[in-house]
Amino acid sequence: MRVIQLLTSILYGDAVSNDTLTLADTLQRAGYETGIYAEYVDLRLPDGKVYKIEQLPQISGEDVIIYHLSTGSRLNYKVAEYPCRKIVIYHNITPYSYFEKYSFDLWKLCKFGLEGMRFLSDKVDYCLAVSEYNKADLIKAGYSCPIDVLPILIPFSDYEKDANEEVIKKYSDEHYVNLLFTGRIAPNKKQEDVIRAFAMYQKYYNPRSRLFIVGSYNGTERYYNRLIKYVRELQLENSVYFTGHVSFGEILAYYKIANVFLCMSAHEGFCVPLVEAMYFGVPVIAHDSSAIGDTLNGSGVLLKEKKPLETAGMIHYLMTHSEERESIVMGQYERLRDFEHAKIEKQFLGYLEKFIHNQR
Amino acid sequence: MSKIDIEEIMSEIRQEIKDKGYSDEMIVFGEIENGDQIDCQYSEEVFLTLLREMNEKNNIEWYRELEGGKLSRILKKVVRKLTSFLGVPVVVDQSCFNADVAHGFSQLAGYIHEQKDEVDKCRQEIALLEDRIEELQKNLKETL
Repeated sequence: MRVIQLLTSILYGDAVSNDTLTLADTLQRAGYETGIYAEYVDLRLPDGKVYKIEQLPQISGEDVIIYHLSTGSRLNYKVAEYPCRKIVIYHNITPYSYFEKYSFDLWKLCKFGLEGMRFLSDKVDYCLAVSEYNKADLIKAGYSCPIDVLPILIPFSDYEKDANEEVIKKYSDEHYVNLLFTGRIAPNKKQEDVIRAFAMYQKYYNPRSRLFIVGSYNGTERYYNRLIKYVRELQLENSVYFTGHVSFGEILAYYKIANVFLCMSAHEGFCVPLVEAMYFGVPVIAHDSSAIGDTLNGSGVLLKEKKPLETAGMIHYLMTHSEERESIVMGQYERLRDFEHAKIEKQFLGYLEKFIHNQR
Repeated sequence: MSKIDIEEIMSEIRQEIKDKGYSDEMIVFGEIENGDQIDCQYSEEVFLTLLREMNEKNNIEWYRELEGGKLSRILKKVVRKLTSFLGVPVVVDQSCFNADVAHGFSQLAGYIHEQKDEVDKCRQEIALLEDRIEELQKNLKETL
């Protein structure tokens, strides 16, 4: 019996890809015969780790396929044809309506993805959702097989790598407050609301402040251009920094210089940056939507309503009340323990064992 | 550390906002125009100039004059020779691709030109038809 992981694309540094690679190590250490196969394989990944789907050996009825569902792909349909038991790990697919005004390609891709997700609802044997929110999505889509929640495996050891010294030197300034949001420039992440809250903060509370929006705008150029125009209209060109795609060392540096992590996303399946902010001791202020509340689980500051002026007030509060700020950060460290590798690996192997022995 | 009461803090913040008369009146994102993906105005002159340059410069040379002192040039020649098995095929493929792109754009320029002629023809027909309609309306009025 082999346990094989399949996914559409495996990329260097991508959350779904990192999860897949880490699960592969877990499976290997647990003694399973395993492998990763993808339609697209990033050449920067080390040889022998991942293979192209064309190299997938003959699948037998005894095998188990773990399929990472996160995007539109013909593989969403192809996977149903394999003559073995199937587990879907659902990372979530962004509702296509978010891309309507900005990108027909992404709109089409997400629509295709959600259709594929619904197609698989009666063709898989077990699901692992990375959040309760994702679990609810699967149930809404008609999945009646057992579904358990398993958080993403996050490579915390990577965060010990060297941070970019130039960024730290340039922006570490005790007289300035640095706000941060990391993540792709994408309409569902509502970077415009982060900018608006920052605008209020700078206007009413602290003119000596900066906002760093760290993330690639590849594929969402239209949305990015609109954000740039918005920043210009608000006269914040000297305070809002769009970094675009940056190196991992630079991402680490931005976390190290950040005073507050601000998230106003309308749709997230898990939101790894929240966990990263927790790891770096940066207090999180986030709008309560989709899986945000699941990931924070009582830690950080979760705002029910999206009111930029009140959000600005909360930023100011955290910056001027050190005891409360410390309490928030400690609460986040507490929550971080739930994402420890050993814990999630144990959970995953437990679920897999039960599934293999028909107990799930 | 005691648990933080976020709602209590939010109440304080709301009170402070009210007391100080802060307003959230500010341009909203919805008022910002969602422009075209490519934010530039079309200029036929610029397009044709770029097209001409594409056609002239699409070929990439692997072998080019090396700069520096005598020893440095010898060293660079050796390195170039040693890596040519890797570099030359890539450069040839890139040049072929560049030529295809330049040809594609030339086709596009031809298509734009044809379409322009079609549009001009349609505009002329529309103008003639509008004149005819005006004439007919005038005749009808006179008849009535």
